[in-house]
Amino acid sequence: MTNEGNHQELLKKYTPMEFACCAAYKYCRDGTNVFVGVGLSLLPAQLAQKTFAPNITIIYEGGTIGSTPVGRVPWCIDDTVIQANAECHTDVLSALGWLAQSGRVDLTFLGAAQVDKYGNINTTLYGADYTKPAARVTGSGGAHDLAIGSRNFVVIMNHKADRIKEKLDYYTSPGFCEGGRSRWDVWGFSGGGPAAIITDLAVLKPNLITYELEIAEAFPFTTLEEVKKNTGYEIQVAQNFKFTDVPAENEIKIIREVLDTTGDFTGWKKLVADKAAAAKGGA
Amino acid sequence: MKTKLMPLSDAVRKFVRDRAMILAGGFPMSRQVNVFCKEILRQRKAGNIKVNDLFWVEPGIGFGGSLLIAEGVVDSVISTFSGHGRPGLSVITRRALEQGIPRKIKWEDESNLTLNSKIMAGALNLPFVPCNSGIWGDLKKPGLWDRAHPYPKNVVMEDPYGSGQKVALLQALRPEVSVVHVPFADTRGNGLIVGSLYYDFWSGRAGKNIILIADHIVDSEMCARFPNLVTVPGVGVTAVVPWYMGSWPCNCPGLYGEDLEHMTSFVKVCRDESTLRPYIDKYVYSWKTHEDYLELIGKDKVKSLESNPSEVLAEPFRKFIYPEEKVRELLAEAGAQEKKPDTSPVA
Repeated sequence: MTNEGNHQELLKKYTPMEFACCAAYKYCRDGTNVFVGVGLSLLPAQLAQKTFAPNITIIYEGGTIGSTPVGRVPWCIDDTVIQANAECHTDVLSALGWLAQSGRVDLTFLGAAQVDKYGNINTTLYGADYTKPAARVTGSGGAHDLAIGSRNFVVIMNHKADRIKEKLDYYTSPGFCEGGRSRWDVWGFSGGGPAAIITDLAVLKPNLITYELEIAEAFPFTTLEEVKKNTGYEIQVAQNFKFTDVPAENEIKIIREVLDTTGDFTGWKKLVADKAAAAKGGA
Repeated sequence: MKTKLMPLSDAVRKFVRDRAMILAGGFPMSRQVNVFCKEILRQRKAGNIKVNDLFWVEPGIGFGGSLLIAEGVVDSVISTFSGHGRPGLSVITRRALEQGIPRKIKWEDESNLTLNSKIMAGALNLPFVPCNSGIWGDLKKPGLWDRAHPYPKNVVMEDPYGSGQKVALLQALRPEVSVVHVPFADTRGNGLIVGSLYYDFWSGRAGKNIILIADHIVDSEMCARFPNLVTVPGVGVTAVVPWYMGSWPCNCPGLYGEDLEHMTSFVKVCRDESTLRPYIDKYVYSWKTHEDYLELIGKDKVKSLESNPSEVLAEPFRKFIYPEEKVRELLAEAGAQEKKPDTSPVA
């Protein structure tokens, strides 16, 4: 099953965001410092902590260091549920200026509205005209600073042709800048840039010569054609391309029973409800 | 000892000036100066202050900032983020930026590191500060200011000491007023924050005038016992406004959690003028006293917000909290003190 796609029946068991979360958390390493943002990027670090990497230290940009959420998934990086059991509370300048810029952040999970073929990120707005955007989104927050200083980062986002594209509507945070080694040779950024862009369809990784994003993995419920169709530029397929493994039982168990109990982040509750409805209909 | 206590209405009347830079503390869901924003609108409506073009600087435009924008009194914004966390994007900010409703606002985008650095530079009386961020992409370009407005964006330069590293020189921000919400402050203005500090270590040092909105006024004995934990030193603070639940519906770690239910409904309410208008009338303009304000939130709601995982953080400091009665007396004394002439031998 691992090397063929189009297994649409998998979507009856798992949501695309559960696939994304299970692909993303594997980028953590035990004993390292992991920086997390808001929304879906909160889940993978916690999943890693609950499985193979109990000793990671989670850092939030408000300045909270080494805390684990109490009672529920935090709704924002300044939620009280992450402020109760921290090792240390500092400020934004310590988190983004000191820790991130001095190479002490090993991995960061970021969200994105758009990503271009070099992994540069837009989290500010849609539309060509800055003065009259078609849609305004959150803004940089600390993403720009983490994209520069974090040793690596992983982006989690939706896969659509107008979101993964040749040129961005607004360049908020640097990935591999203008491609090739420009990130380091021209701009001199200390961090390593995006390790992967993980979407609800696939895992994109940089080609290590051109630093263009390629399809490294696709989730087994989709096909390469579908991934290409939903990408806004001529995307290449990586040499060692494979279909992603199906999430393990314990991963799904932890996501549903411990981390995202309400289903707000991964949307798994709807799956279960559909299944129950189908069973009822069948009976 | 001269007290810095001041009623909320006085603080707004005294320090909020049109077009003067106002820096607000907190983060999208936490310790935002929400009651201060409401009071600006209330005092304006009462005709006590004339503000139509506020110059608002805030790390993340969340609840209070959105209300100001919704009422059309904000002219310019410097920020890094707009939104309410999981409850949703800031509908009001979006409408203003996308459609110019209720008016066009001038908006400058920063990142959290660049904006916090600019605030630090201002506090340290530096003209600019170098930063790793802000040399690449669109953040270094000017945003929506008129060309007449003095807000030069980043100058990029190479390390003059020869390392070859590129840095952005960020111009310092010098707010006229900086408003920071703290759980505890004494009458001298020493503020103690528990939980993340966000920008507030430097926001509590920046600004010609620094105003603290404090949930609790505490005995100065607290500072004597924990002097290393005082986050905002009173020596720089101009006024302390006592206002319990002043950050609601945002949280104040140690004291109360975020009101997720209210925030979620607020995001919904914002989508339509016909629901937003009654909301603003009720939650901004309808109440008169602090009691009314708490009543509006609801006693049961306050209780449920008070019980949250972060309450242990406040434990060591609770015994220093002055009862409400005492705070009222102190406020009255502060009013009387204001009227006394200065008797220093050398004027």
